[in-house]
Amino acid sequence: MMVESDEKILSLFKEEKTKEKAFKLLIDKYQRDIYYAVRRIVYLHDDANDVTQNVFIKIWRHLDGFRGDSSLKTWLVRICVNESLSFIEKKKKLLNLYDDSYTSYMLKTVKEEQYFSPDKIQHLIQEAIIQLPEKQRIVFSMRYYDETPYEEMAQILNTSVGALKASYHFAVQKVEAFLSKNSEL
Amino acid sequence: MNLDQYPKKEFFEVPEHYFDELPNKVLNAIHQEKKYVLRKRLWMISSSVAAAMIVLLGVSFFLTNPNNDDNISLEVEKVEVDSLPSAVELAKSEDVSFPDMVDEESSSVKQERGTTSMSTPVEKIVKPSTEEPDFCNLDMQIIEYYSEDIVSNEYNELK
Repeated sequence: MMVESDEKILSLFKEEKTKEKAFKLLIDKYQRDIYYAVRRIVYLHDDANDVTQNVFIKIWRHLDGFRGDSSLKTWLVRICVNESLSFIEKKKKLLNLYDDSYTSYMLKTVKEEQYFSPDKIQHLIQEAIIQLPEKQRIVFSMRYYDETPYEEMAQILNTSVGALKASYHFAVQKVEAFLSKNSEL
Repeated sequence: MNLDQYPKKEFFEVPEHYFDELPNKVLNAIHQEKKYVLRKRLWMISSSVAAAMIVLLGVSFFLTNPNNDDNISLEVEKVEVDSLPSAVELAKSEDVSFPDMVDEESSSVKQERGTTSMSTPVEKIVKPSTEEPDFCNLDMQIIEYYSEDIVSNEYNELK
């Protein structure tokens, strides 16, 4: 499968005749990035599937207004984060769950639901990540799994590089402390 | 314990062929979105046209209706103009004690001013009165003011 450049996709999207073709190219190029960016926040596959489709609909509506202030991928991941966080807020309200009870719900979900790796160490790491505060959880996942540069994360999360580095540092400390405590059991 | 000791593996799994099917799912959702937008636009256009038609019908009904305000006001003006000559006839048909009225007016003005001289017709008309105005008599006063001699002659003839 040939991967088109962002410039080519954007120029094709501006023409009404090639708009849909351009969007298909965009989906092919970024569907994995978008899906995993969503999945690392919402965790469940079914939720991630719904949010991913909503993200693509939003992209379809607003891609004309993309000004190119950041890279296309940064812009797309920013939409993913915003959509995922608003999805979680809605879900918390729907299930009448608040921060602590939502963490318990997520821990239970990861153990019981399908489409999670059966690897025990990976489960342990995820248990540690779920217990992090929301912002640290997002920063940790982006940096640890996707190796997103701090500058790009700063644009996505609209915060400073220093704050992100501090956030990641504290998140790593908490995860390591959790692993030290629980891997011995 | 250092996190680097652990192998970095993807924890999240997806159903088989998920990424092969996702583009079509998304494009179907986009087609639904396009249909929705088209329906919304059509609805907005049709409702705008309907609103414009209602306004046009209302305006045309107002303009073509003979009982609108302009015609009414014209008729009122016509009635006022036409009614002026008939006031004399009205005075003839009704039992109006015209000289008495003039005398009452004159005497009351005299009482107020404390003079015995004849007051002018204007003074008679502007005299303040606590009584409820009698528009029939007011007409007569106006006629008297403008054509006192003629009315007196007519009265004499009637007498």
